[in-house]
Amino acid sequence: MSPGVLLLGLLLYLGLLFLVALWGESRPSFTQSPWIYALSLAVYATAWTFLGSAGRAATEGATFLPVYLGATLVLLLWPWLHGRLLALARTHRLTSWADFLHLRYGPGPLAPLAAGFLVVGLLPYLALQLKAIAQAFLFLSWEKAPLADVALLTALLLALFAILFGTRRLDPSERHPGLVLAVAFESVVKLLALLLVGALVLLSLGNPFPRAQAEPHLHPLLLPPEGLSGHLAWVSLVALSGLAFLLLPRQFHVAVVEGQDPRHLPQAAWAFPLYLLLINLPILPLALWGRLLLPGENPDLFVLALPLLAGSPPVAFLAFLGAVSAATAMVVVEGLALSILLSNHLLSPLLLRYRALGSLLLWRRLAILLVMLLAYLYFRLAGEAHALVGMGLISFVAVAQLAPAALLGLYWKGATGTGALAGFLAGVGLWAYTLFLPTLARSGFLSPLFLEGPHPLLHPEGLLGLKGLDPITHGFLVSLGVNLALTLGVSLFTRKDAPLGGRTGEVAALASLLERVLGKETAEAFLKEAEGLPGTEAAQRAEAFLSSALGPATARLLLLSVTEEAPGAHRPLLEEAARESKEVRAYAQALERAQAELAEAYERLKALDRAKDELLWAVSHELKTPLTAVRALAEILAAHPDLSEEERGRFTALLAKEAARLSRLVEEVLRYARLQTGPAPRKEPTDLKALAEEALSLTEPLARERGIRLERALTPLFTHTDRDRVLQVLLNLLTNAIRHARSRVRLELMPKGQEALFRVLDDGPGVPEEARERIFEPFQSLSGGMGLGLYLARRLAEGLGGRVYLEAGEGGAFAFTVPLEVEDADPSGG
Amino acid sequence: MKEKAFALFLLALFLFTLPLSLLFRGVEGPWGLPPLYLYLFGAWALVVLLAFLLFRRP
Repeated sequence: MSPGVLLLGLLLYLGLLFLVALWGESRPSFTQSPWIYALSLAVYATAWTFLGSAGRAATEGATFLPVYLGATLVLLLWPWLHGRLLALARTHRLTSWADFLHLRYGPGPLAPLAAGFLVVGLLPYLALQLKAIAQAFLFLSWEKAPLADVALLTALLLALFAILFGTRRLDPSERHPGLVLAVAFESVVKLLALLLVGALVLLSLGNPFPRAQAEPHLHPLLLPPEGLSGHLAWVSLVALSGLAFLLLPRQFHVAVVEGQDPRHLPQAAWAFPLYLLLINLPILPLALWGRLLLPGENPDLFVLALPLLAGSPPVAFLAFLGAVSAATAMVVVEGLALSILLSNHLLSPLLLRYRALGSLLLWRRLAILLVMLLAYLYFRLAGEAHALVGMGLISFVAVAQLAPAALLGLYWKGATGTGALAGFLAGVGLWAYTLFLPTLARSGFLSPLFLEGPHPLLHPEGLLGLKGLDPITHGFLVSLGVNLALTLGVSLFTRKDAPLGGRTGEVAALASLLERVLGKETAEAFLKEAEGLPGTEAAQRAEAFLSSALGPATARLLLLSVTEEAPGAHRPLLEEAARESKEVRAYAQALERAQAELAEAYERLKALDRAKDELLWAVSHELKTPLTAVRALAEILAAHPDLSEEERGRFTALLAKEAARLSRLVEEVLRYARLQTGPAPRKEPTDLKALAEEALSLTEPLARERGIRLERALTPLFTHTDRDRVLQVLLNLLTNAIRHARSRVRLELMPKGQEALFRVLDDGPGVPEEARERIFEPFQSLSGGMGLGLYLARRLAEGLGGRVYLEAGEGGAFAFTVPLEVEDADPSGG
Repeated sequence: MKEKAFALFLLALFLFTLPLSLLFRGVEGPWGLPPLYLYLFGAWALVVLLAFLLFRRP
């Protein structure tokens, strides 16, 4: 294929991408779709997937798959794993994991170190893309020009692309619908291209499996990794790729910065794994046909070489465009994400110091160029000696070093900044020692000493004598294991970092600062958000705007000029101290409560004991009088057998009367005891007028005996109450009235508000003023009775929710109220 | 749904990280395809299907 034609095709494709991005910019709502979100996540599938997977499958068999199985596992928990991060990102306008580390652990070296390390750690990954495009171009054009020259041109073109699409404005938290649509478009192109290449090869060359099965030297490609070390490498790759998917800056950019709608997460949880499954379907057949038919060819180029072998240069060109799509999408988004990391955490504090913050956008564009040139440099130094997947995995292990600080920070309150920093530094050091430096040494750029280590126990690819693990698995397990252990261990033994104190300021001053630094549009957006908010919240919003554009450290410094410490800014510290002493205080409070309950119970017991003594005294006193009479009468009858019949009859009648009095007394006491320990009232629909009639008829004999006329004035009333208790109250009140009346007793029943009112009136002398207070106390009688009737009546009435009281005025006038209740409405409605 | 998603995650983790070398020792399986890849792509498709059933909108 002519280089000119190839270059023209490449430029036309890039032009098409540019048009797609422009169209996306003009229709931002089109990108607000869960499909676009899922396809933008496919920026994960890079040239490594498109070209390198077939290369890996052709040399190491099934181990190309764990890279996608790990991502699938993470996606299954995506709605919750990422939902929390999305909420944080929306509130604080986070642009990277480094921003999160600053937010979580406070200012310190961790976030800038993480930012710098991610740039260095991802250079192999970016170099991989440059190598892929350069290799593909030279292969299809049959040119033998030095690989490096094409890679440099590619790096410069892609830097330009990233600058044009990603840095049109200063605020990196602002969404770029055009960029997202271009990435989604490229995801479709690379999937279709790979499926088409696979279909073409299968149709024209046939099924490769029978031939591969007949070739014993290809059998390792069809079998699982052997032994414990092979299984460990498989599981490690699954875990490593899952962590990398979560922590790669470009994935954060497309999943969090560009895609902020949590409703898109559930669909991505199945659609993206489906995408990964489909794009991997043709890999093995291509790898096998490559090994069978192109034994001398670079396995990373099988995807391009096989269509040519099948006699279809157009499909080969389409495969080239697929590879370009995979590489450009990754390079543009990763370059943009890394430039934001660089500018927010490393450049902007420097620019602020030298009063050159206004040139930050220029510096961010230069950072993209710098990242590309550094990737090119890595490619020149080490890239030509490595396969594509090997280079990518070194970057994956680098990115995984963020995992303990980031994930523990997200889900474990006990993680401290010191612990996170200790773990991260140890992890980075071990990554460099076990993977990065040996790679450079293997390329001849560093001394071979970096491949051997100073001592056999410190061999970079077999620390402490570990043998049998491949370098990636070894480097991953050692660096992440130590990183995790230190993050956990140091966090357990260090104090939690004090959170930053809040600031407060006037909205107008904050808006003015934002206009000066970020421009009028941002200030207007801030004013819209901050309208009506208190000073502290407005300052938080302004800090979020500044932080997303300039980095959290610079944002805080700028904010100091227009804000002051918020009242209660030290509250977090106080809360921390309060939390520490919370258990002690809770214990003391529990003790106080128990002590109060004990004292109350003691007082209650004392009162009950006193009441019991008084009752015993009163009962004994009441029993003594009739008992004395009974005894005296019995002694008289016994001592005087000669008493006349008339006298004997009189004494016997007196004896019976006193015995009856004793019996009544015992009954009253029993009733009192039942009241103290009796069951709860049993409420039922009750006709109060009928009940009053019944009480009158029951007391009729006593009234007749005493010559008392019973009168009534009863209004028909119904309620929900305990019929027997109401009757008992009425009987007690009527009996009491009949005992004191001269000639008549009147019972009235009428409604009064929400109550039924019984009035029992008699024409007796009434209750003396001095006795009104104690008339309802037990054993207080004005008529020589037991003195329990009124007491019982009041207690029964109170148990029903009513009252018994003495009305003012001439004669005796007792009132008794019962709440008027209706039955509950039918709960089923209607 | 959170519990179901976690259960699906555990199932997928189990399926993807089995000691494959103990289970797949041959190179030819049903339809002449390698059993290792048949299993891996089958398990993967099953997980995607279950995820679709779990996360699709009601």
